[in-house]
Amino acid sequence: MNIAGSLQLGLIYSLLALGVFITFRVMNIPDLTADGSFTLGLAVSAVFCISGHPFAGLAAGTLCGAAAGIVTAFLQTKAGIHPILAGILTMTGLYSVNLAVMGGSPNLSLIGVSTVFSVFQAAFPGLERNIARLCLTFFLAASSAAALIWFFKTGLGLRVRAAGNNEKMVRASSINADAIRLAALAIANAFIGLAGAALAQYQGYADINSGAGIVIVGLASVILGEILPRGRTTAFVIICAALGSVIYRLLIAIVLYLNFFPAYMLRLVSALIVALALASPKARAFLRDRRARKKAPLC
Amino acid sequence: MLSIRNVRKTFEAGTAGAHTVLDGVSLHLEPAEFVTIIGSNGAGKSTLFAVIAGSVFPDEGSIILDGRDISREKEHQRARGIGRLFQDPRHGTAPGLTIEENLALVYSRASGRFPLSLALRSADRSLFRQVLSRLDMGLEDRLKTPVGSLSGGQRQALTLLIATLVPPKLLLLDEHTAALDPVTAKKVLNLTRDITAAHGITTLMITHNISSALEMGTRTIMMNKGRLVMDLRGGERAGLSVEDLLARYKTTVHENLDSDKILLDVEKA
Repeated sequence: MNIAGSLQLGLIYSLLALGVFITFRVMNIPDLTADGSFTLGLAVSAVFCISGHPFAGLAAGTLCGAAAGIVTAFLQTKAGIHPILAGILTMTGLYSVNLAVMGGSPNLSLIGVSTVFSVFQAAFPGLERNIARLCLTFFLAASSAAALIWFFKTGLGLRVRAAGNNEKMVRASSINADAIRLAALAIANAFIGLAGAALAQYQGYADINSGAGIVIVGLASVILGEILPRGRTTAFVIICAALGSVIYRLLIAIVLYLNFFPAYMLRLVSALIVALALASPKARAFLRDRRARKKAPLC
Repeated sequence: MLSIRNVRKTFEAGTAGAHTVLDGVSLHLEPAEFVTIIGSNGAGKSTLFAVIAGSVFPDEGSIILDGRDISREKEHQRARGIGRLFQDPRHGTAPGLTIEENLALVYSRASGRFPLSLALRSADRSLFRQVLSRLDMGLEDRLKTPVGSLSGGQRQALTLLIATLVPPKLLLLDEHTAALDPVTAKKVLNLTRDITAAHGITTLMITHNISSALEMGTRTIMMNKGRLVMDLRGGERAGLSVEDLLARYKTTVHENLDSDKILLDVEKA
């Protein structure tokens, strides 16, 4: 079982979980842009690496993710398109954009190309390869979580939280609710773009289909993080969302190691986990109702 | 302070369901004036507020606040100068945010801080404690309590405090005590009186309670079918009882002031 690899992947995907957390949990908007913005980050990062700029690749992946989020926000607010459809539209359009970025080829290899990982490894030749990769992915995840925790303490962050919590109130206040939605979607997809950008360099290739169903992966991670003991502070909730992604990867590693099912079943299992978790409040209410009805005297 | 000039609004204009909700309303408020508004359901009171606040655009007419024509401004732009309270106490605060975060939401913005700087500083907390203590509800010791766990009265008092933390040019109160129990309603009304008087805030208050319409403020207007039908102030208003007002309503619009709710309010009063 490759625990180190799972930790590394979990830390990279924790950026995706943070992005999904912002839209689904804080803003309460189902944003499906992620499938496209993740691959966009991946593609842009790979292209930058090939041209010799791995660090700029991470930055560019982040910015392109943000741009994708802005497009979705624009469709939702100014064009008045349903949030889910707006996300699907952006995602669909991005498929072509991503292929264009990759020069029309469905995959790019980064073998022999320098990435942030190889640069880091070269800077610390004494570190074992797995430890070096773990350090770098941990740094990426921790600094992103810290940035998000800080963001939610700022005035803008507070407005984003309020907009997700009581949009009616925000609309009647002096806050421009559309601008807040734009900021939230941009920041969420920036994190998702960065996740893709880091993944491309980590795995050494970019594939046009990497983003398919990635929203569910992110959502499953966020939900797994919510199983952890609940705290009230925003900082705690954010850290849990990031940790959820690590738990998700470890679970996958365990399941694959025990050979419960072939690897291609993973998406189905992820979808089931999310469906069950989202259905649980309703299921609990149903069971409570039934118990109450059984106890009630017949009349 | 506020001038409403010949405002008209017809919903679903051009269809069989067209109904004129505001039929040429003109109103002028002096600075620091506190005006109560009464009228039957559907008289256009809430639509008048929506037109002033910008959530509904009028077909005709203009709104001038503090010498500036705000008729074309968007809701959130106008909200810088206009505070609003609604009947539902859940409307004015974010339940998942704590008391201090709800206050900081408005205060950090009003004090002109950069949006990406810290919203809640320790100096803010002592200010919040001080203003909250004026409510006399013990909220100053519960800064970290989520607003969702407060009672309706506490939430409405907090909303009033937030709306006036930085005194607005105009305060719109749309039956803001109607959902509260009588004791709490009284308390919130007293707070309203104290806060608006202390800052000299120009205020419009819709109420279904005729006695508070006469007790609060200095002027009472009555709306019916999208028009202002009565405008009472000064000596004419001073000696008026609830019964007198109902009688005057009857002679003015040739029907009884509607709804069991008003009758109940009269009995309670």
